[in-house]
Amino acid sequence: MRSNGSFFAYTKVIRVEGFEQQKLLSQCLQKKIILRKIRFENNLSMTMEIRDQDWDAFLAIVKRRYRVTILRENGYKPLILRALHRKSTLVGVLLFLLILIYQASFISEIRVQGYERIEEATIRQALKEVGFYEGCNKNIDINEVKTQMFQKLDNISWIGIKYNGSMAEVTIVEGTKEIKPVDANTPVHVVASKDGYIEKVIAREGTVQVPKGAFVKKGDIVISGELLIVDKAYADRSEEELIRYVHANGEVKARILYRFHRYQDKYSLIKKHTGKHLYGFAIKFGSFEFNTAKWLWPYDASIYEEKTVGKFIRPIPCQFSIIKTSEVELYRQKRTDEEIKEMANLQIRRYQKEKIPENAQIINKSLKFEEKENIIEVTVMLHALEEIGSEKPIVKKIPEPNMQEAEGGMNPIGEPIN
Amino acid sequence: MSFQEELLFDFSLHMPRILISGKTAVVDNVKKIVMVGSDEIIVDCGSRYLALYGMGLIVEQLEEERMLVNGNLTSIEFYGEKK
Repeated sequence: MRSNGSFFAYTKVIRVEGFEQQKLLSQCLQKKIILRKIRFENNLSMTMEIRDQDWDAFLAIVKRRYRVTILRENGYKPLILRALHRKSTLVGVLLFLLILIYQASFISEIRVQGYERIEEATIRQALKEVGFYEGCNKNIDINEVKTQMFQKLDNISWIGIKYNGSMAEVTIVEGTKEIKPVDANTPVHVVASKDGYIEKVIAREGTVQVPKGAFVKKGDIVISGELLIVDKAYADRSEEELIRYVHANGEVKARILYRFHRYQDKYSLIKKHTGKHLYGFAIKFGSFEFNTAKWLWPYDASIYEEKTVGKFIRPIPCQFSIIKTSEVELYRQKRTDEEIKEMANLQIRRYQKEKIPENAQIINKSLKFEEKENIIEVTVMLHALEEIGSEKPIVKKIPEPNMQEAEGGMNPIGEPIN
Repeated sequence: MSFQEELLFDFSLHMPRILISGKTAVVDNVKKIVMVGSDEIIVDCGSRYLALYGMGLIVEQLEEERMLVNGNLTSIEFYGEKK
């Protein structure tokens, strides 16, 4: 028996009009032409379904005796052929597929999990800085991202990045390194955490070791946890027995000296608008960027301004911006003392934010300006009052055994052994 | 059915053979179509004729000596012994 599976590929629904319908059907039977859904409309007309591969043989039988009308064509082949003839549909489908493929090559969402002490915003910012952000290309080197993340964030023991479609799952495992507070019962000294001049020491427990104004180096004991007990009744006891170890604590304020250099330009650049300007636009699709300003840059000196009009990630990362390029004339002008001082203060504030603890109090500030060839060197000296006390556990030295005593010894009944 | 009867049934290629189930009839050994219409279909099976009567008859499939008929079947007739 012949397969009728190809009825799904391409079939024609036809109407046959003429006399002696039975003759035509008998001839089809003899020629092994498969017919389906034969409906008899009347004595002269019938409809039927015929495969495309039998079409020529059928027409050979029909000749001019019957009138054949094709009512419709079924199957996937005519569907494809019809689609191919419709150019706009074809372009639409291709465009849709292209968008689908293009969209799949970008990260549309980043999920961060596993963090405990580090904030999610910090992790996201660090990811963005290393080039892993929502809308970036999936072809980014994951190992490179991981390496840079280890450098960016402290105390990370493992980082994993997994793609789930166009979503990236970032898993962070934080390290177990943690500053453990010293147990309140453990004997400790209070030592200086920085070099500085002692301003004030208030010992709540322990004995103060340094006077006011003394210079201490990092690690020097400021409040000792060793208390000497003077017991007049048992004064004949050894010195070792008269030391009591305590958990020393207190407030240690010291004057810390910060000295650093900053540099400034001797001249400032003045930009004067000429009044001429040019508008353009920039389109960014994922990693592809088209910017009219890159092609058309008619001015020698100009100010570039970009305003983002639309930005979205789905279905594809896209950004549209309006650009304004304004022509300017550049002038060099010597900066005034006030401007230099203002800038120096700004530099100091930046330094203070980065290096000096928040609770520190600036008690003195001195600036020294020195003009060099094209720059101005600013030497800054800051005196800050800071809390520098930190606890350090007391490690008690084990005394070495007295060899002379150890050599002898006693027997079980208390007589010396020779 | 004896073995001899079964053999005759299987190899009698010129005798009308019909299987009816509900509104569907499968006719085998169709050699020629004698008359067609929406209320009657008569086929030549070689040595005898088979007539199907009913209403709204549709030939669902026609292929290699087999015909699938669908519709409200009312009666079947066998006639015309050929020598």
